[in-house]
Order: sequence, then C-alpha cells, then structure tokens
Amino acid sequence: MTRRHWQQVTPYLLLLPSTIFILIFFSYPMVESFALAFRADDGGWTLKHFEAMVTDVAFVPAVCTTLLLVVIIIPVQFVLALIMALLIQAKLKFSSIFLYIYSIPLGISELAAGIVWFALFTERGYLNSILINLGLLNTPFIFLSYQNTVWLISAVVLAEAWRATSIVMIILVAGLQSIPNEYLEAADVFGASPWDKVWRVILPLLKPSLQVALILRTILAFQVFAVVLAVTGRGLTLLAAEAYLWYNTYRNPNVAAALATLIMVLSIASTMIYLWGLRTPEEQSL
Amino acid sequence: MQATYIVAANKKALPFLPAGADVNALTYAQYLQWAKNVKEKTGQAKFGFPAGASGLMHRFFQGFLVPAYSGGVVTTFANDDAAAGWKWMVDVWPYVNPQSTTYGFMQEQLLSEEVWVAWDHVARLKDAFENKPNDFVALPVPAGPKGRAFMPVVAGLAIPKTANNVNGAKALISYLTEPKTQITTLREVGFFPFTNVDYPGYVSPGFKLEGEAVTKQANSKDALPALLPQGLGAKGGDFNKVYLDTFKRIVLNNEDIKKVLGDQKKILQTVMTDAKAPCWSPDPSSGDKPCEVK
Repeated sequence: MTRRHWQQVTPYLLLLPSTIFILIFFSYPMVESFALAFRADDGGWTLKHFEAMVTDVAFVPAVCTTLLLVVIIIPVQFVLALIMALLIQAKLKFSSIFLYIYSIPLGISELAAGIVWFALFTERGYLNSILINLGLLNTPFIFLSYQNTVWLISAVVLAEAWRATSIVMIILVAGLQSIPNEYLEAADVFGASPWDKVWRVILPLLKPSLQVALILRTILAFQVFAVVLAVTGRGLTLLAAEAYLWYNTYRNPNVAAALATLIMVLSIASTMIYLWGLRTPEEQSL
Repeated sequence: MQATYIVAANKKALPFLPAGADVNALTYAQYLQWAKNVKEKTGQAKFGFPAGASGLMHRFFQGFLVPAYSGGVVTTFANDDAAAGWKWMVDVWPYVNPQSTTYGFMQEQLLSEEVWVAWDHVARLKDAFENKPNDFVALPVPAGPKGRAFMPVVAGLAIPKTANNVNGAKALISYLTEPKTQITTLREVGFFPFTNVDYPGYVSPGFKLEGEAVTKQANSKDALPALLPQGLGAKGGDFNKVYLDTFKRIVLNNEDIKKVLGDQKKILQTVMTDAKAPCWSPDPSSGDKPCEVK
C-alpha cells in the first residue's frame, strides 16, 4: 500500500478497537435484553412481560419517583456545578484545591455513597448523634421512615447531588476553559456587570458543554438505584431499582428487561429533546 | 446442618412484657401487646422486622404469620384466618420502627439498640448474640391460633446417580455429619447441628443461646413446621413477590385486607400453576397437581 492509502485507512483502524468494544459490550447486550423483554417461555414473542411490568403494584410509584428525582436533582446539580466551575475559573487563591476537593465523590461508587448517606441519616447515625450532642434534639429523629416521603426524597437528592455534581462540574470547567478571554474582555470594555457576563456571554457560549452534561446526567439519573436502595430500602422505588429487584430478587429476567427497555426509551427521548432544544446555530459556535 | 428464624430480644425490653406472659411461649397477641407497651412507655418504636431490600421479610409471612393463623401457606392464603393474621400485622405496625423498610440484617439494629426486639434468621442475628451474649435473649417465635409456625431450613446432602466417585462423596457426607464438623459449621456460619450434640465449652455463649432457642422452638408442644417453598424452580422469586406485595399493599399502603388477598390470590394461583408445584407441608398434599388456593 502506498503512503496515501495508509493515510486514508488509518482513521478507521484507530476507530476499530472502540467500535469492537462498543459492539461487544454495549450493542450486543442491548439487543439481547431488548429481545428478552419480548420473548415468551415457549420461544415465541409476547407482550406479557410488559403487561406484568405495568400492572405491578410498584410500577406507577416507580415511574413517578424516577421522574420527580430527575426533575429535582438535575437543576440542583447544574446550579451547583456552574457555581463550582465559575469559582474554579475565577482563579482565586487555592482554586486548584477546590477542583480536587470537588472531584472526590467521583472516585466513590454509587452504592458506597448510598451507604455513607445512610450512615448519616439513620436513627443512630451521625446526624442524629450531632443534633443530640448539641442539645437540639432529645430523642433521635427518624429521617428514613417510609411514611416520611419528603425526607426520603430529600436524603436521596442530597446524596445524589453530593455524588454526581462533580461530573457535571468537570464538563463545565472544560467548557469554560475553551471560551476565549477576548469575549470576556470585550464585555468588560462595554461595562458589563459580572452577572451580565455570566448570563449573556458565558452561558450562551457554554451551551454545547451544557448539552453534553445534561444528556449525560439525565441518562445517568434514569439509571440511579443503588443510592436509593441503600438510603431508603423499600421506602422509595425507582424504575432502575425495580429492574434490579425483578432480576435479582424475583428472578424474572424478562420483566427486568422490559423495565430496562422502558428506561432506554426514556433515555433516548430525553436525549432527543436536549439535542433539539439546545441545538447551537452555526453562527454561534466557537 | 439446619437453620431457622427466631426472635432476639434485648434484656431491656423484658420488663415491658405483658403480665403473665411466658417469654418462651409467647402468642402473637402477647407479642403485639409487648410492642405496644414498649412504644407507650419509652416513646420509641423498638420492635423491628427485616423488611428492607436485602431482608427476609417474605419468610415471616410464608413460614410464620400466615401458617400460624391459617394452618397453611398456599391453600389458605386468602381465607378469613389468613386475613386475621394480616390484621395482626396491621395492628403491630404502628409499634414497629418505621425504618424497618430499610433493615436487612437485624443484628445491626439490635447492636446499635435502634431496636430491642426483632425476628430474623439465626445467621442474621448471630453477631448480636456473639458480641453481647449478656445483653440479649434468644426466644422461640410467637404462636398463633393454629400453632407455633416456624420455617426450618434444612440443608440436605445427596449424591447424583451419575457421580464419578460415589465412595468419596459418601466419605465427605460422613465427615460433614460428624458432631465435630457440625460444631465447626455452627461456629463458622451459624447453621445448627441436626443431630443431638453436646455444645462443647469452646462454643461461644452466643451460639449456645441461639441453639437452645432453636431447640425450644422445634420441640414446643404447639410446634407447626412450615417448610421452605418447594418445587417452584424459577418461580421462587415470583412466589416471594406475592407475599411482599401483599404486605406492601395491606400494611404500608393501608389497602383493604380482603380486597388485596382477593387480588393477590389470583397471582399466587398463576405462579403455582405455571410452576406446576404441588402443595408442601403444612398445606395438605395435592398429589402431583399444582397446589390450589382455596
């Protein structure tokens, strides 16, 4: 082969390993689990598993809680992540230390994070011990009661915000760093206030990063379950938690696959909405 | 090797026992009164059940509550006696720690004293008795109108017909059933000897406590063994789900007992029919036919 040929082929060769990886470890299992959701015991096709999923006692609460958590957690995480990213970008003294501290939760698994927050909130946990030692409470307050949905959801939101905000922050920091200083200097020249700069210069230019982060976070939010399982037990339930229970506890992989299919459809739908809603016109891109 | 489920109680809870109750022969009514006394006198719900995602709560319904009230597990699932059992669950629930829906292994909450009295599998209570043998007592489970129902978990040993080394397998089984090996198994994993053995001095007091309660429970006059579900194959999970969903709807969601049992009965029958599982003790035999919910 000539050198020119090699140059033409090289990009495809470089793409090959990751393509094979994705085909084997993502596409193949995805197709398999999709088929599992429709496969009957006798080898034919059926909608029985979807019927079992929809008529299950836990299905409607699981859908509601999943959507509720997505709606609450994502805005909270984005506001926090943006503040954190701007703080790092402001190049204050020790700002690089912030970056390291903010990134710590990235290294902790979902289940471990759930157990940490369970240890905080449980009746004999750290939070109650502190409140009792400070004299603010006489007897422990039960945060994680199944009757106390507000507290259960708050505990999950706190745990998730703590655990998964840093991934959004990292994407936003990268986005912020790609905004040329000239734009901000130009804004200074025209006498823009710091608020104007964030609202009218930084945020519009950050749109592509926000889009990536939103897609990533929303897909991950539909998949969250270990935190919820660890913190609330059977007190709250989510689609992904139900899929886990159907597979692991009730030993019914078909219904679990039906739930996984639903989660996939929701993930694809939300991705489409973000791609369409946050599209960046050609003239606005950097 | 055998295991079962018993009740573990912190000695602090004993003064609240209802008058005249024999701690080794409690009834469900007395257990309820006990839970109520503790809640009313201490202000805290100190009774617990392992109703979390990794807990074994379904076994409480399958092997204890439902057979103790109705005398069966499947055939009597939806009758008035079983409904009375579920009514007991509803009545006791206000005196049960509401975090029970997060509990998996009751030894943890017993050791932290978040709860004083708990029902669970002996292997999941082991640490409490092992770490603080002087703080806890091990008790037989309560009895209902039809008897002191309990679920014995017996480990069976068998040799497949096609085994290559039958004599080796026989030798292994002989070794595993030696008293000394059984004591070692007990010390390591909390499964109790199935043949009579004397507990040697080196068996910890915690295991001795549990072992004595297991024996008392099995040998009580009104003992009603309710076997582990059998013949369900891959449907075992669906079977458990029927009882857990029933609990969720009746106790956690406060739905009408009769209506829930009527709904769940149909699901239970589908599970039994699909699995082609005949009845097991204490339900009367159904021959080769799938067990039928009456």
